[in-house]
Amino acid sequence: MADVAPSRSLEAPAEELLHHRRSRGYWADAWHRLLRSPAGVIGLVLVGLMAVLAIVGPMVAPWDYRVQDLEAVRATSGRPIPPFQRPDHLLGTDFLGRDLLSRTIDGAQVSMTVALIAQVVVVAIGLPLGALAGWKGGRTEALIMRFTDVMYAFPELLFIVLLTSAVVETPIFHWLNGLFIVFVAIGASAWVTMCRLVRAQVLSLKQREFVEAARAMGVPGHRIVTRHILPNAIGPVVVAVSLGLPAAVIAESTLSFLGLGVQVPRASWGSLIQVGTDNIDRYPWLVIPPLVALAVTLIGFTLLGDGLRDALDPKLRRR
Amino acid sequence: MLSYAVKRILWIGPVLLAVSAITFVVMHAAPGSPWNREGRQLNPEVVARLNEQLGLDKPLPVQYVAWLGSVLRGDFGITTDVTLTPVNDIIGEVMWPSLQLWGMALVLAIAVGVPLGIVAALRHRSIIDWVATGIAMLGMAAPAFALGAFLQLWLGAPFYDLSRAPFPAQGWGGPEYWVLPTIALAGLPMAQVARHTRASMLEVTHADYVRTAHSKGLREGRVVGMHMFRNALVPLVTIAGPLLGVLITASIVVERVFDIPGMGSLYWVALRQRDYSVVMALTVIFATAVVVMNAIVDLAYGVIDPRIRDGALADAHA
Repeated sequence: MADVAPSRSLEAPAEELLHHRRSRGYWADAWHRLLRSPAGVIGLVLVGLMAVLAIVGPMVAPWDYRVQDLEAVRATSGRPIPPFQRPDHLLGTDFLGRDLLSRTIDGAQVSMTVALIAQVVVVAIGLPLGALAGWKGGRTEALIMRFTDVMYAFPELLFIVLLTSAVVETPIFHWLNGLFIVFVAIGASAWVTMCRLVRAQVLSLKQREFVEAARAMGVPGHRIVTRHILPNAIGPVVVAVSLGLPAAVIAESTLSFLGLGVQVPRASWGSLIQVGTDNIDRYPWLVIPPLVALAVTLIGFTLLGDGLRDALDPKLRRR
Repeated sequence: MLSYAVKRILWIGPVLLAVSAITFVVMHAAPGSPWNREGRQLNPEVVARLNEQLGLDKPLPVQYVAWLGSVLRGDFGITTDVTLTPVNDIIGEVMWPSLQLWGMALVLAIAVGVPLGIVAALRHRSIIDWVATGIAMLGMAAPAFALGAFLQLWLGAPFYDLSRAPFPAQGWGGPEYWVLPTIALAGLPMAQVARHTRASMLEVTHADYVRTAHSKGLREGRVVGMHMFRNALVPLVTIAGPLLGVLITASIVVERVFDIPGMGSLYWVALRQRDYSVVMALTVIFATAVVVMNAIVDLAYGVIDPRIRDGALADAHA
């Protein structure tokens, strides 16, 4: 009896440790890591801020982004109102008397929507094609991979600009204030990277014992891919998506800057910056709010992407 | 190595063919024609004559083959607009500002990005590292057009009359015009070069051969230059290809922001005007630059890293 007690007291902390380790799954572990890296936290906060702004923006914005305060513009005889001169237009207005702060806030909604939906398109095209190429091999793989080679050689922005300017005169261009074609164009060019990544993941996971075991048990191929392989490839996919988000924001704002993206009366940071650069010699302050908003968003996404990559990197994971 | 190199170079052909075919189809599938652009009113007989003259009345595959044939002979055809100028002449004119801009931006990106990355890695977790990483982060976060707008604003701000600013915000001419667009274009590549240099330098910091070099009593500069950087260079080369692609396409936007009469501005105008032959010519030129650079990078990778070269050699013999 006497020599049982010490062994128990030794066992207890070990059990606790074991329990502690078991309770932290892959995602909980990654989340914990993310919260411990300064980059990840700052990124999370900035992106969260923009996401909240995108959702509640229309409610907190002092003006509707479409409303023209004609009286105010008339008072300045058709010139935009400078910032900090009127309490109701804190950051001033554009030439049509539309509140700049409200339009910048609306831009958050545009950017966030484009970033998210473009990534949905990217995953929807790239994931199945990559999985198919990696799993099937042979001619299917050759066909898909040669096609991605071609798309990879096509300079991305060139393809996006080509695609959008081709539909400028069709009704498609104006669907959802130009947002529709932006989703399609970005998705259609950015899926290539996702496809290559998923294929590489499937190729390496295919060799693992658990897949062999599943195969030996007679699990059909499509079930092996969806139940055994893809869940294990989800980490790199999440990282790729998080790095694709700022790329999509850049693409959207560039398109809108060129006049090919979001159409009036909706505002995008790109189109607001375009108005700003056109009038930079007379009204240089017009460009500041959208420029700051864009930079904050991109820094946020980049930091978050870096943080996620470190957090989900299996090499660094505590075993 | 040789068979790999040959295969790699031969692959350029089909890729460019496919890129040009996709562009051709998209351009011709787009509604509108070069003759009904922005308020232009041509009478039907003139349009019919122009179409015949340029071969636009023929079926699309025939047109594509004819285009391909003349491009292989080095002739990009005649502009698809009322002036009917040879495309080669126009490109010959607008090519130089673009090439100069690409070159200057590339040099700037490397000349700033590499030292920034090295310094950050050598002073890991110090204030210098934080500042360098911060600069790189800002570069990552600023699309070329936004950086351009910011530079116009910031460098012009003390001069309310921007025509008196030291660096003109728009146009192309003497060296004072080169400063802002080059910085705007170099921003993102510079940031990426700095990040990758830092990461790969950090990876070799604790390598055995670096410790050996230190313990032999080599000077710090020699260890960094001869032992660390040479090895850190290998992963850096891999990003050079994609980087050039980013640089080339971003120049379309930068040229527009700064109103530079280069290929980017021309591409933009030609797209709007549905100038089929100019769009085709520029797409092929841009894509060729990207594809050839990627191929050179792939081959250079093998030359720099003996492990890969020998690996490729082993594969070839197997």
